[in-house]
Order: sequence, then structure tokens, then C-alpha cells
Amino acid sequence: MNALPDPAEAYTAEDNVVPLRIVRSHDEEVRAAVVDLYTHHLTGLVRLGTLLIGDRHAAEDLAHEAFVRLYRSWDRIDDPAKAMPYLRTTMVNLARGRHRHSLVALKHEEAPPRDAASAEDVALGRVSRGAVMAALHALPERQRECLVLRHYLRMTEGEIAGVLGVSVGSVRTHTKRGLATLERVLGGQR
Amino acid sequence: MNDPTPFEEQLSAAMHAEAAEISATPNPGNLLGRMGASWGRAGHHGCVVRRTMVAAAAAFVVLGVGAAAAMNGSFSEDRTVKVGSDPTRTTTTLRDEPKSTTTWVKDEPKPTTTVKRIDDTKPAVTTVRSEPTTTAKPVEPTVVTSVKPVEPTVKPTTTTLKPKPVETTVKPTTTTTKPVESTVKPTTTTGPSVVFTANQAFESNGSTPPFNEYWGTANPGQAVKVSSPYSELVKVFANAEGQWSARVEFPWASPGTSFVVKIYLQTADGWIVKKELPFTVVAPG
Repeated sequence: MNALPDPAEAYTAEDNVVPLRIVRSHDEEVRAAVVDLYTHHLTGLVRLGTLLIGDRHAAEDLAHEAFVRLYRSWDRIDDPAKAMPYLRTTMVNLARGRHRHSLVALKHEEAPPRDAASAEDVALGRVSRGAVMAALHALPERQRECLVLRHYLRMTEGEIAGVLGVSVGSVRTHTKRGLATLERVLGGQR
Repeated sequence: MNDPTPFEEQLSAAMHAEAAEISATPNPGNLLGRMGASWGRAGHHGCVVRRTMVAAAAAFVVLGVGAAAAMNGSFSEDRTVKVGSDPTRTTTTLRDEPKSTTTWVKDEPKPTTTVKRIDDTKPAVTTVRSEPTTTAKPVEPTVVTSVKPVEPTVKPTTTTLKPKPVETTVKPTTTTTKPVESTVKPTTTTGPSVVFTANQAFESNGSTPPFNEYWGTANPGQAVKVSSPYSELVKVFANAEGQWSARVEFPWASPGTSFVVKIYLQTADGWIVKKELPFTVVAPG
């Protein structure tokens, strides 16, 4: 990551000059680092958010908010390599709050038409992707988060526990229950 | 974790297929706009910006109320009284802001110079009075009258010269009182100046993140800045005893990096580099 300030830039000033320039350049460095992360990882975060809350536009909004929060708390992050885990955790937390809000709105909305299963899916006895997504978003939030982090981001149980701030045993339980629910719901559609 | 079941593989494939259809176009301008709209980053500088914004907003509201009251006051005499009360509110709020910055300067000389020395003089004066309660008073006028012709020649030089002629003419009671005067006067005229020093705890460090501690002496209330290309700027003030210290972390310095940490001192001429301390980041462990 390009978080290193240029030493030459920092010391080209005369000795007697107030080193306020260094402060500003550090802030600019932080902005540049965040924008660099934003350029490369926005799509990934939006995808994660969409899987978590089921709304692409809301996910994009949350992703921007996550980057702004990263910028604001950059000094608290010891290691620049922790920026991505921080972004993922922020995204999951933002999505959780957003999902609670959207659940209320969905109760008053007509259910969107599900994608029809393709001929291949029918032939292979598979369920359609739309049905999977609908069943996924109907799960309790912890179960959904565990399933998305495990099967989309391919995180280990320990990593998921770190992101969600729960124990590994809890992650295992939520994942198991979520899978069982999905199998039961989608099994009826095969 | 166990191998994924066929159902888990289907689930994973569905998620990836769903995600693959989503693409977001980065718009750095949008993000920078949001960053600018946010109230600054956490930490010292963010807090400063936040505080000044709140203070400015409060001052704006108070001034707005004052202006509105002034406009209303032009219609009746009763309301003009309220106008007079509003500006006092503005002065009180404005006074609160600089307090945090000016107290350093205002408070420091008081405890070190005047208050302490005044306490010192009091016991000296009382002891003198207790010894010759009746004699001391009459002696003073006699001293003045007798020394008068001598004083014009001595005065322009210094106050410390006074006791010498007095010693010859006046009795020991006056010699005890005069030194007290001579010790008090210098405190009021000249303040104590502390020699600036700067030290560092380590010449190299391998902890994560690497850090170093700096300390030294400076005039009470004087600002000291510690700066390096691999750390944030740290600004501290010397305390009433003239001591300052700062802990600086170098999160961006990789192992093997050697650089110079500059110690700046705030003077009347601006910030001056007083010391350059070399520092090397070594590999942890």
C-alpha cells in the first residue's frame, strides 16, 4: 500500500519552517491510501453487501460509508494490511443495521418475481439462483452472515468469528442451522 | 472444516454467480466528497476541527440571536434592554474558547515566580517584626534620612549596592531586612529560563509498531514538536516544572529503516530545530 510519506518531501522544507506541511501531507497520504483501496475493492465490497442485504444500490451506498469510516479511523488501525478486514467487518455491521430497516419495508412490499429455473437446472435437479438468494435473505442475520462469509468469501470459522465478534462454536452453530434451513426450504423446490 | 457437501457447493456457486453480475464503478470524487463532508478523522486533528466547528456554530447561533434581538429592539425601548444582555453572552462564550490555549502561558509564571516568592518573603518580614517590634519602626525612618545624601549616587547602579553603605552606618537590624528586599526584586524583573534539552529512550526499536520516547526540559508552557517522516507530528508542552515528554510511534517504518527524528522548539522567531536524533527500526524479536 502506498501509505509511506516521502521522506524527501517531508524534509525539503527549511529547518525553521513550521512543520504543518507534514501534517497535511500525512492527511493527503491517508486519503490517497483510502482512494487506492476504494478503486480496487469497491466492487468486491458491493458484492458482499448485496449478498448480505439483497439490495445492490443500498449495498453500494453502504460500501461508500465503509470507506469513509475507514478514512476516519485510519489512525486507529495499526497495520495498513488490516484495512481490508476492517472494511469487511464494517460492511457486515452496516449491512446488519440496514437489513433490519429493510425488513420492515419489505413487509409492505410485494414479493419480487423469482427467476425461473433454467432448463439445465431443472434437468440436473438444481434449484434456481433466485430461489437460493430469496431463501438466503429470509434467514436470520447471523446465519446469513455466516453462510455468506463461509461460502462466498471462503473464510475459515476462526476468521468469521473474528469478523462477527462471536466464538468459533457460535459460528459453527449458525452455519449449521442456516444450511439446514436452506436445505429444507429449497428441498421442496427440487 | 469438513469438505463441502454438494448442496454447499451449489450454494457457493449460486452466490458467486449472483455476485459476478454485480459491478460497481468507482467514483473517487464521490468518495472524496463524502470524506470532506465527514467531520474529520479520529485523533487529535479531527478533534480540533470538530471543536472549532462546534465553537463556530455556537458563536454563529449566539450572534444570530443577538442580531435578531437588535432588530426587534429598534421597535421598542423594552427590547433594547435585551440587546444589551445578549452581547454579554457572546463575550462569555468567546472567552471560553481561547482558555484552553492561553492558560498555558498565563498560568505558568504565576506559580513559579510571584506566588512562591511572596510566600517566602512573608515569613522573613514577620520574623523581623517579631524581633524588634518597637525598634524596627523607628529605625526605618532614621535610615532613610541618614542615607538620603548617599542614595542619589548609589541608586542608578543597582539595588544590591544599597546594603554596603547602610552596613557602615546602620545597626544589624537593617542589614537583615535589606537582603530580603534584594532577593525579592530579581524575581519580579527576570523570569527563570530553563535550558532546552532533548533525549530519546532508544536508538533502535523492533516492537510493533516501532516507537520511541522523547523527553527533556524547556521553559514552562513552551511547545515542543517531534517530527519524522514515518510518524505523525506530535506536539507537547513543557509542564510547570519545565519538563516535557512524548511517545512517538512509527507505524510506516519498515525494519531496517534509519531516519532522523527532529525536535522543534517554539520560540519568538518561530519553530526551530533544536535537536536531530537518529533512530533505526529493527526487525521484531
